[in-house]
Amino acid sequence: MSLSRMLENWSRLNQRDYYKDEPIMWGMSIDLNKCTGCASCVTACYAENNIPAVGKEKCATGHTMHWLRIERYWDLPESEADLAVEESEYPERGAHFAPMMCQQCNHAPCEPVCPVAATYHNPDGLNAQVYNRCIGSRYCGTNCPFKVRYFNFFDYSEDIPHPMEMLLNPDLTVRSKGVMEKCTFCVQRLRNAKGDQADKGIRGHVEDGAVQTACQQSCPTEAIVFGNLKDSESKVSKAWEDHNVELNRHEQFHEEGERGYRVFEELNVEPSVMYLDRVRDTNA
Amino acid sequence: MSQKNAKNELSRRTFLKAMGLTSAGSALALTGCGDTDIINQVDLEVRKEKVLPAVDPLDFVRPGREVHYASTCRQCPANCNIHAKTREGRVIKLEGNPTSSTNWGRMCAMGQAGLQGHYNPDRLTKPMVRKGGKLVETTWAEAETLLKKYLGKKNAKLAWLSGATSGHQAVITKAYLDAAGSQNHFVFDTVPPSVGLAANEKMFGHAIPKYDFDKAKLIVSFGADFLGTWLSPVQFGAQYGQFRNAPRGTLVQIEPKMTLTGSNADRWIAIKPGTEGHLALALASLIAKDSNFKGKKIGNLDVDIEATSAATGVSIERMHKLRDMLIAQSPSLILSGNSAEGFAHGSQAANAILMLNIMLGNVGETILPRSKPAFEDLQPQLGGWAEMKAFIDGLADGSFDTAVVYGSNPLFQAPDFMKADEAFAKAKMRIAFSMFPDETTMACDLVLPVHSYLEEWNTSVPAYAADDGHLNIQQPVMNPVFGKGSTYAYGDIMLGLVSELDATFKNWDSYGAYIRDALATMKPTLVNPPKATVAGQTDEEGFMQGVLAAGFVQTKEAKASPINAKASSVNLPQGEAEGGKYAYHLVPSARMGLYDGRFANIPWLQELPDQLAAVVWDSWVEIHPKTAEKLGLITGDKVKVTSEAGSLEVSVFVFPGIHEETIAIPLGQGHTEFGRYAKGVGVNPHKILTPVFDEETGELATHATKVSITKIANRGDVDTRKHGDLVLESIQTSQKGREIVKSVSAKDFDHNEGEG
Repeated sequence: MSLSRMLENWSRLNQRDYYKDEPIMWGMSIDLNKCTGCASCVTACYAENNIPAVGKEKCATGHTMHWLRIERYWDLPESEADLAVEESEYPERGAHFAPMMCQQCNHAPCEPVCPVAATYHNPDGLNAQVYNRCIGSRYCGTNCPFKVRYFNFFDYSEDIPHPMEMLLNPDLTVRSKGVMEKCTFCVQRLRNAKGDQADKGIRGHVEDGAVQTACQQSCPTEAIVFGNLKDSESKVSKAWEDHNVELNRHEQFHEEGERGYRVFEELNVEPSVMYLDRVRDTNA
Repeated sequence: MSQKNAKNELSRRTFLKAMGLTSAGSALALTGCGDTDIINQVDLEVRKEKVLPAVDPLDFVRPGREVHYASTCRQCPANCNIHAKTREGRVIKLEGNPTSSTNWGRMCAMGQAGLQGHYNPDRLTKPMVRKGGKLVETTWAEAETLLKKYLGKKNAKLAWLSGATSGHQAVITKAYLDAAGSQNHFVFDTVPPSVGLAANEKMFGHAIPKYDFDKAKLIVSFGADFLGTWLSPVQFGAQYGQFRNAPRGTLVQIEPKMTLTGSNADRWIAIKPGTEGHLALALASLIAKDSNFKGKKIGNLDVDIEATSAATGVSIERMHKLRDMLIAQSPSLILSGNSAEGFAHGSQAANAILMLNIMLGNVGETILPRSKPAFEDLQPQLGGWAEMKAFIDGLADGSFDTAVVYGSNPLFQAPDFMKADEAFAKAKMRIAFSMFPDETTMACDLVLPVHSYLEEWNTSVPAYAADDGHLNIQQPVMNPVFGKGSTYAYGDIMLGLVSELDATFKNWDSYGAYIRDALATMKPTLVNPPKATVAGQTDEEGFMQGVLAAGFVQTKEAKASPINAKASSVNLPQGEAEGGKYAYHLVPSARMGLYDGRFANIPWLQELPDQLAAVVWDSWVEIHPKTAEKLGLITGDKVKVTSEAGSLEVSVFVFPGIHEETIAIPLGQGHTEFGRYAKGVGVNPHKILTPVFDEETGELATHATKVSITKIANRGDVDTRKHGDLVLESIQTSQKGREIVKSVSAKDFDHNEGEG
């Protein structure tokens, strides 16, 4: 990629809606009313995406590679103090769980800082990572407000004992030392689905439900919905519409009790993942 | 079970052949498409570079394209139906089977991680025999000779211990033991709530009735962790998802240590361990006396509410609130789980809790009957501590001379007071069918490495079947990982053994053939048996292809008759015996992840942060902040936890979701064997349990142990890290005012998203 092309791409990237005419924009909705924090999605992600378990010592130095992790908090944000229980020694309303993975931001802070354009925005709305272009500057990880980028400090693949290498998914690479990696919305599955459609002569449309991300597929409560936001009939766009969440906003205009929001949308990063508020019966 | 035509009988076969060993190799990789051998030509993984295109490839096998095989997850007794995704002849991902009423296409973390058990580098690949006090590798020929010598004969002193079992695995085990003249089959599994199931059986006539979570407007669970480890977490997770739709059901969880289910409750109530039954009785009494209550009053409900409040630590105001909710939100569902049942009066507590269902009219609404099973022999046996104790006691007093273990690890699970090691050592011959070098396996004299559940034929019945008559089918989804002749299927070995003693079983030359024949024989009893779909296919072939592709069959069941619930009288102890120097209750908590320790050798699960504590690769003791302050403890300090039966050294984790007078140590760690990922990590709280048993069922009272805590090191002395020796995946417990996880009230939710 020539330097001029790179600069051109960057300036295009910062134009709003540059990809607005593309037929597919992958998006997600996560219902925190249903998410139980069981972490089934986390293990599904490990299995699908060749993510190494790094061991206790490396976990301790912050090298855990979980592309999808469960955030767990015990308190309410300040604005919701009225939902709090009476003074108690115990967390009587349970925990606050949120699966957190790359939010595939449309104004991704990680993209413009990459010195080699290893992370870029693809026409399907994904914040893609080109491993063999990555030089490991880690600027992107520093710039990510969600802290969902993971750096390979070691060649974990070399330590896989036989026969455990046999469970690796041949549809995606095993990353090597010195590159950054992150959630791809299971891009290998998306490519397969698009390829299947192309075989039938259909381009630019993937039927809703024809492709699932690994986390969505395993979720026992169906808290995760995934699909094409440009397809007005897809479950995910209906969910966005039902909950009155729109792109190109840094704040959603909600009636009392409407549940849709995007984490840190006030930063104007335009995440493609919508969350729905956790619900608690305050009468209980 | 019928037999094949007698003319097919192959008589005078060699022992090897009868064991199914010679044919096991060719029964490989049978697919959803009938009896077709797939020869794995693309073998890049092991660097053989044999990249020849299959000369005559099967239609459905294309390099670069996945092939899915329907099979069954055998990680826990829930037995979910799965689709195993294979590429170039190896399984790379497990996914739920979307047509299954057990798991509706979903899977839990433990099920997903089955791959790392299957491909585990510490799997046993050669038989081992004890020579001169040490286990040494041997050949299958020698192992067979020994096996024939010790198990190929009648022996009334033979004792057999299985993990939770069902389907034809249970049938063939029983057939062998019958043929061998042994009455001593024991089943042990740590987590299934055996006390509660016995109470269900007495009260509702079904050990596990059907539950309709979605219909319930209110679920009050006394320690049943149905989203984590209770019976069938994926099934209940799916039902829970429906339950939370508008109009949204309310969940109240009452337990001493917050479980995953507790962390999702609308109201989590900390209760003093062992008083759950007392609270249930008090609630029954309050409900009966309330003027709004129109239902049936049961028994003598004269309960001193104030005394109960003092004993349970639950305020009178909270009890009144619960009473109002239970009356207003009907039908409800009241569940009893392990933490309410693990006491000497565990059965009584379960009775008191379950009785609320009868009073509130939930039976027939959210608790539904089952039909009498068509095939009794296939039904799940979940076992429990009473059977484990009988196994150990029999070994200790010399009633048994030969011990066989499959799918269970008694030497790891048994508390020290049971002296399982000593008892086990007394047997003249100890044999293990095992995948891994676990504690029990390493104490045996003969070790037979067996297939993983992804390499063998089997059938099984889920512990909680959403539909009566659901029978899971398991088929090999790939060649055995370690190649021909290294591991064998338990079923094939058993078939060989039983046909030594019972000629009927010589009709089948492999366990796979036996399973397929059993399924074909069951055809007339099935709901919608599949038919031939392809031209030129016989009905038989079409049927077999159809059931294998479906992954389960459904037998026709009689209509279930309504539950005739019988309330039992409840007799709970008044007041608690003084603990003396042991001031704290110990909760050995099972969790979604390492479960009872059987998954400690799976790195994905070791590295999966505990859902609440976020600790990885370790054991910890949960202590309430107030208690910690009193004892001068902070997260990362090392303490010694001592009971009358022993002590453990473990790191402190200060955690608010636990009753002040209680501490909890999660199950799963503390292995002294079990391969590179498990050995030497953490502690096993079962080891220090004291000898208290449920008075009615004889099950071990797992939650009745009291302990003392002494600090032995400051965290700074242990390690300079922020949390000492513990590694926390998520240190932050507060949102710090940011709106990362927002909340709304159920009232607003129902208003905005409710129907109509």
